[in-house]
Amino acid sequence: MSRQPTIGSKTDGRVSRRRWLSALGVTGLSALAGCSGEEGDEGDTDGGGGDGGDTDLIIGEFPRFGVDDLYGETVARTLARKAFEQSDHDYGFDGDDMVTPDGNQVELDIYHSAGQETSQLMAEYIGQELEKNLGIVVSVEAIDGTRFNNEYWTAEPAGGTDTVNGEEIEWTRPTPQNPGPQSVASNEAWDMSVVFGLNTYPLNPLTNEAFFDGATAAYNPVGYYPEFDATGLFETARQATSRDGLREAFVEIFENLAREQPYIMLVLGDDLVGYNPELNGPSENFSNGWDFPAWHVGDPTVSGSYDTVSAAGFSTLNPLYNTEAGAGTAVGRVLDQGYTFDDDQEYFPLLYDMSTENGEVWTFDLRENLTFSDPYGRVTAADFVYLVQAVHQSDWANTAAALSWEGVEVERTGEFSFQATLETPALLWPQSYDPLLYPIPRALLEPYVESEDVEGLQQDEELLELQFSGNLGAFTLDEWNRGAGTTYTRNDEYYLRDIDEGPDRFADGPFFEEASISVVEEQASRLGALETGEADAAGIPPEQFQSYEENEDVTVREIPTPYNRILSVNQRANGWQTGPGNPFQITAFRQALAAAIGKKDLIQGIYRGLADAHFTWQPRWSTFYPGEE
Amino acid sequence: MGFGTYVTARVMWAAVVSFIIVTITFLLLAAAPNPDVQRAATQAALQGGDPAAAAERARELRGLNEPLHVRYLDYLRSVYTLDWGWADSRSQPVTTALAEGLYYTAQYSVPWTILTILLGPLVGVYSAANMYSWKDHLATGFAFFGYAIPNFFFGIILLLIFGVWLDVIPVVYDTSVPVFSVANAVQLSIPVFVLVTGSIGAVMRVSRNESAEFQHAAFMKTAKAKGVSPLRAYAYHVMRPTLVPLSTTIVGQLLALFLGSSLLVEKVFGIPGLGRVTYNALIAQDTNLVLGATLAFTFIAVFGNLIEDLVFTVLDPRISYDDR
Amino acid sequence: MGTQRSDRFDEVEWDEISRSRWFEPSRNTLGVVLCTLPIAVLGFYDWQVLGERTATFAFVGTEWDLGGIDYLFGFTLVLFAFYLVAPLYQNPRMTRYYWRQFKRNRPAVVSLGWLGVVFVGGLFGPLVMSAPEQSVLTGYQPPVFLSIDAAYVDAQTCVGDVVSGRCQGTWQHPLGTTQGGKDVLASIIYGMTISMQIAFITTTIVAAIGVSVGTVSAYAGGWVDETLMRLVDVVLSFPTLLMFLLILYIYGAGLGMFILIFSLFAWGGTARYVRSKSLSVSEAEYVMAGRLSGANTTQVVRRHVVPNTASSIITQLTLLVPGFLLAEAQLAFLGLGDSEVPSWGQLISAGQSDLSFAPWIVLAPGFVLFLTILAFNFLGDALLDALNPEAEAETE
Repeated sequence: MSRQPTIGSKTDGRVSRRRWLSALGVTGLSALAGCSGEEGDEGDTDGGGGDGGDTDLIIGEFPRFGVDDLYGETVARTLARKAFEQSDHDYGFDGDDMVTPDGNQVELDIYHSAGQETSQLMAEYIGQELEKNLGIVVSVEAIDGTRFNNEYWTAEPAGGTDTVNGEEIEWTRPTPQNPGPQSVASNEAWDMSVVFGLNTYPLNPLTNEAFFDGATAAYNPVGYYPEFDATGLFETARQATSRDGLREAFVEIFENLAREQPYIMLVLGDDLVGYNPELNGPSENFSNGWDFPAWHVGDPTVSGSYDTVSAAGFSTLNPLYNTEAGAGTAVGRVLDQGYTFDDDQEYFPLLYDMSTENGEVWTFDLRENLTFSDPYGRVTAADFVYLVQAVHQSDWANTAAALSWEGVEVERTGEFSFQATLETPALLWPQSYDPLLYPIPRALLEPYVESEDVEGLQQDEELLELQFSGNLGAFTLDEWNRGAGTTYTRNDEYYLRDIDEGPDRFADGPFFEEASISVVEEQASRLGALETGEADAAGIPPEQFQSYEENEDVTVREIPTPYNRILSVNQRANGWQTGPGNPFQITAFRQALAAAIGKKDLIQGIYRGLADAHFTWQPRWSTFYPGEE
Repeated sequence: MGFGTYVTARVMWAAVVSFIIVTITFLLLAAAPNPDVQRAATQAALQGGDPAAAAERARELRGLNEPLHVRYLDYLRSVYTLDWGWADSRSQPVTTALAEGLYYTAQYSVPWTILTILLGPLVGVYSAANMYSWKDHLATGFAFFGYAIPNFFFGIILLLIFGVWLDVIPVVYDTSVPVFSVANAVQLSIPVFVLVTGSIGAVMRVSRNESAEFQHAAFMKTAKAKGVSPLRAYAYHVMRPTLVPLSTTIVGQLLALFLGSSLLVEKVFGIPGLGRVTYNALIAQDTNLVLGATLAFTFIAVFGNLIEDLVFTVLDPRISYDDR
Repeated sequence: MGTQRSDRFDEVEWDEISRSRWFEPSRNTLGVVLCTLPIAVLGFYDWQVLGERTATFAFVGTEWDLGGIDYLFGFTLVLFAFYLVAPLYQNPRMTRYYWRQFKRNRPAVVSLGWLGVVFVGGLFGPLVMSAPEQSVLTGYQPPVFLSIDAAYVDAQTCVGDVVSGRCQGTWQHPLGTTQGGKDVLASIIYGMTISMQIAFITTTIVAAIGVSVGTVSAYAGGWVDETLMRLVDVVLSFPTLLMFLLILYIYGAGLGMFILIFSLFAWGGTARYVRSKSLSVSEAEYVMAGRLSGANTTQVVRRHVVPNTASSIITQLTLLVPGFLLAEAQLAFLGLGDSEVPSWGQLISAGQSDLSFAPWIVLAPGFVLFLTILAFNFLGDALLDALNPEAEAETE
């Protein structure tokens, strides 16, 4: 059941833009990751460092917990003692052991995702490190990801008020992921978890508001209260009119997050993918696959079949309701979305170009050569405007993109152009993936809109089988066999052949007669298919990366992803089951945890050196990553 | 009580059994929180809606606000009218999902069952006829090997050898080949082989031990003394009585193996059959499909036991219908 | 052969399997009660007095913590000791006789030896060696005398020497290590405990219910028979694995639940088998004779029905135990097992994706599982021959 990345097309962030989690159910994303060699942790704690002195430990502007002098027993225990001083309860150390006010050994649970090797290894490693460096006895327990999400990670939204940093704050819109103040417990009690990783949104970090915009942020299952002015800083970022201003605000946010460790950040990795060595196109880039129509095997002539494997089947191919990255790839073969990002992470128009003056009013200009299949005719601005207004913004449809269009005013301005006005200006609106739209014929939607029939819309044959795709994708869907995957035939009419932008090869693309995505659940079988040539691409686990690198039948690539690996600590009322109070709520204690878990051995031992140490809520390659120079 | 009456009574009893199991599943499900409701709330919250209202709507939609007996009657009605709902994890009706799964499961189950039923008793009786000879030891050894080696373990190793190293069978199961084709036979050969070696051992063992008792029976000596050919003597006097106790185990054995093996073999060989439909439904928390699969397997088991009982009665004339 | 001896032995056999209440307490039953008491007291103490997180033997200073399954296991061990081992000791002449019969079947002797190893290893292994510890920097160490390509284990992480690009195995990890650096040998020994627990507890439950229901049903007849057999129908029609999956889906389940569900739904076959056997036995003339001479039902069941069905029961049980071990391994392989329990199945499932380059992680426990199941089968086969005087008489 290990989760393999979905391969080889313009996917990840796009369809999955509303996916916060990286490990939910089988449809989750890669747990196996790796990145940029073994440097991992060469960066010294430049912003102050701290010399590990017993009492006057200094945490710098941008501390790097878990490496060098911010790692180890001394640092961790110093920080823990500092936390105990702030605590209302008399925790302490008895010899090597951390003890409760009653003198009992501190014992905590850690949950990991059942059946996921990496998750289990990590949980046990964390347990050992906490025992060694902080004297905490940890019991490791497995749990199914979906069950964890339903029963532990969420709660009945209760709302309430609490004093946060001296200010009275009310939870006016509680959600299952942030049901209320810290006093509101999750449905089931838990201490620590490595079940989920979260998205760091490196292209548009503003989306991270959902996690950290004050204590009432939409997604805050652990009950974290920021001690810095998160709301203010996010506001500054949102209003920034230049990229420099934006960067400044974000750097400050991320430095604060590095200090406060809302989740104990551990590692960030890449997807490791093996390709057919004769395939031209794959790149080690966040946008890998954006130029898929130009990919080819050997000479750039149309031939053969592009076959990939997926670890899990698709639950739906309905573009309005799909939230899975894997199914997003399957849909993407037949149906382009509005735009994508090229190798330089620059906006690249597919169906429409977007432009703005000030980030508030955005103009969408459609290509004029787009058509649906019969009988739906040409794609016009009316189709998109109807889709947004009557479906995404309706109160009955609950589409995957509903939240993206909340508060956006859409207006048709011509046959092939429309305008969107935002509530607050956003310079990086395209980067948030919010304005991404699939083209859906208005005539297809109308009957469901009239009767407000959400089930009908979800179960519509034409939407599920993508029969309206016209010239809007590189391929047409032949069959979706629920258990076996999808098969495609080349679309000779593909509109992308007639555009001016992009690589010249687009004019002849795609360079495959056929394509297929096979559902192969066994990792060994996927790798076998890759080796025997039955598949052109498949994910590779880190422990086999080196041997595939030496294998002539396979070319390996490391493709960055935005998902991190974190240790979540429950800061809610039922989060510390071993004694009174909840030290997880104290920043210094979370710092102690972060300092107790050695990232170097973690990366070396579990990720084979193919991952990057994770200090703050951005990957190192993000332009918003703090510090460095 | 005549045979006809007995069959009727037995069929009705099978219906009662299915009814009991259906009821138990209902109670199990009713006692637990419905993940769908939680999911609806989560989704609504993520999309800016009101989670409490969404949960309420979801409860209403699924009739969870109704009193228990109303829900139970409703449940029974949909179960027996095959109105099993929509499988969210596959975006198709539950019945279609199960039918699709069954289509692939049947392709290896039918040859597997036939081979087991044919070969098992034959080898067993043969083994008993040559008890303690090297032939017996060989057959017994093979049976024990097949029975003792875990199916999935054997499957993985064979797939590694024949699929990856020797490259004679495809690693990825191809659903597009016709059912009756060489390609299909090739890709199903290893799964069927693994399953037959697994199930034949138990059948063979029981028939060997049972027939060992019969071949020293007086009637066998009489038959031999009368000059009945050994083959005929075995067929009539050993094989037939052996089949009586055997039939009580064989169906049970096959049914027990059916679900377990279909889950494992389908997972190892990537066959999108009924077992994998079930497994994935479990993983994806697709309540409708989990329930549908449970019911499907239940009905198969009840039906199998019905057949077993009927066969038992037909085969052993000593047992009158009144005894049952 | 003398009926006296045969009766004596088989009665004991029956005792051990069924521990039905309507026997007057024998010396062995007293022993069981006496030994069960301290276990029950300890269990109660653990349950009521000690905190959930405190180890059971904290008062003598060890970390050894007992769970519900361990208590049940202890109880079944007592049962087996008093109803199987003790009678064998008490009847040395019969024991020698059966041993002679048994010894002729060489594979069975080897099997018994192997099961002895598993039993002793499972019982005492965890007491003398520490649980396998994860150590992520020493993953994929090859077994001694074998080696692995340095692409998987480089010079930095290899415990032994790297010779011509291959990391060599060492005696430190005789059977190598897993991805997480857990010692495979230690994991296998800890897995023996789990396998023994599954084997002992499930057979006890299955035999107790199955044999009682089967004989009662056959002998009582009438509406009792009808009701019990209908119950058996339901139990047999129950897709146990599926029910377990359903319960797992709704509530989550561990090893205890696994044992409970599987043994509660596994006795149907045994009961039916015992019933059909005893039906034919109870129609036999000697039973009629016994009846005529004034034996009551209990005596008939005890003296004639049970001894004559013992062989079938043992065949059934030997077929069942490996079935349970397999089921556990299968669930673990599917990722649905109790991952906190270091069973062989868990080890196989942990190593399955590494099979192509680190096959020992799968092969070692797979082979041990295979051998154990095989041993159970050989043993059952030999017992069948040894305990079946009828077949014996005929062949001689």
